[in-house]
Amino acid sequence: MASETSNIVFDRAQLRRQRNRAAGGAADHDFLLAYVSDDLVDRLSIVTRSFPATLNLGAHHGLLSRRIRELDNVGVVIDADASLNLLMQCTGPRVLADEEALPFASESLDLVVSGLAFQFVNDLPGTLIQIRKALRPDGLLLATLLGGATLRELRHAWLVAESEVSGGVSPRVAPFADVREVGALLQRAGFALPVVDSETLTVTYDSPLALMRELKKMGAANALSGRHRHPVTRHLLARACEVYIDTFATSDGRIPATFELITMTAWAPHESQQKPLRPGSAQHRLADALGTTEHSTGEKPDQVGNSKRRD
Amino acid sequence: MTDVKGESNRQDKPASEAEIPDPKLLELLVCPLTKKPLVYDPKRHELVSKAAKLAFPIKSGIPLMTLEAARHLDDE
Repeated sequence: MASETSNIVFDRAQLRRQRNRAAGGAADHDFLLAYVSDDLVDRLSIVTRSFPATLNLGAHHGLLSRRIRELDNVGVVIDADASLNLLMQCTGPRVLADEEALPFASESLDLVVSGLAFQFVNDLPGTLIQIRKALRPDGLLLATLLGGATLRELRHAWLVAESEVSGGVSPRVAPFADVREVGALLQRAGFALPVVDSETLTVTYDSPLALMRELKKMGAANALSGRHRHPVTRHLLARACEVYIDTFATSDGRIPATFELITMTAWAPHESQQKPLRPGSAQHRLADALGTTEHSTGEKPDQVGNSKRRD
Repeated sequence: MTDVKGESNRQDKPASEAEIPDPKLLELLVCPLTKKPLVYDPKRHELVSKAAKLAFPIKSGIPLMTLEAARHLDDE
């Protein structure tokens, strides 16, 4: 998440260049997006309503869209991405768009899906508000982004290596949101019934270099605004790999990489949705329903509430 | 967007049938800055946001709705 001092964590122009460059090999390096797409398809398939107009925001090469188009309850799926080279591989209606400035009319969409795009958005609250406005009442947002535990091994290896070799550290692995932050953001953006869950996936690679190569091929190399602009020295890279292996390598000599997948499910508000009743609005006494007599505890209701919340 | 590699999306010829986006898609689109409606200019094959004084090009049937891709309309 963006810190208070600077909201520009990601260099979005650099990210777009990296993703444009990686577009050619996108289909060969989409295992994580394929995993996420399967999960989102499962979640959508059990929703008992239909979605005539869907937007896939940060569509990458269109994998998620191709899969959800097969669902009976999904109609037209529009692909939107900031990389034109990736968008050219999408197969449906397409729009070049920046996740931070959405070009969609108010209350025009029934469903917004997104797979592995929101972790690179500088202003996630702004994006969520724009999505909520573009959704029709009772429209659904279903999105998976990378969470805080993602690439924790790589982050550690760079941190140790860089502080040893150059006596300081520079940002190399992106800061990612955590589950609680995402839940709070959804509420602040005016969504109803937000649910956020997290899953941790461990992927193993031959070597740290193989992991870094894969990240580059995924278009997910370092695009942080505060990154060092000069290339990594051979010595620093070697030390980072060494720390990675020494600290994390498994008994079979491979190295693990953690990916935390945070999935958000939230609805644009609609009067048909369940809401908590106002305190004190009960029509019947609990004691009557239980067939018993009510005894005062001697506490005022708000005190009871406070003491319960602390537990 | 100028960094598109090769292929047919570089040409500046008038729009053919295949290059005109789905009308249903065009109905959904608004200016990304002002969220105001867009006007399609068939001559230049652009979506014009009068409020933001921006024109968003359409290439190979794809509306390019980013600020980087937009043309500024200063002189109108």
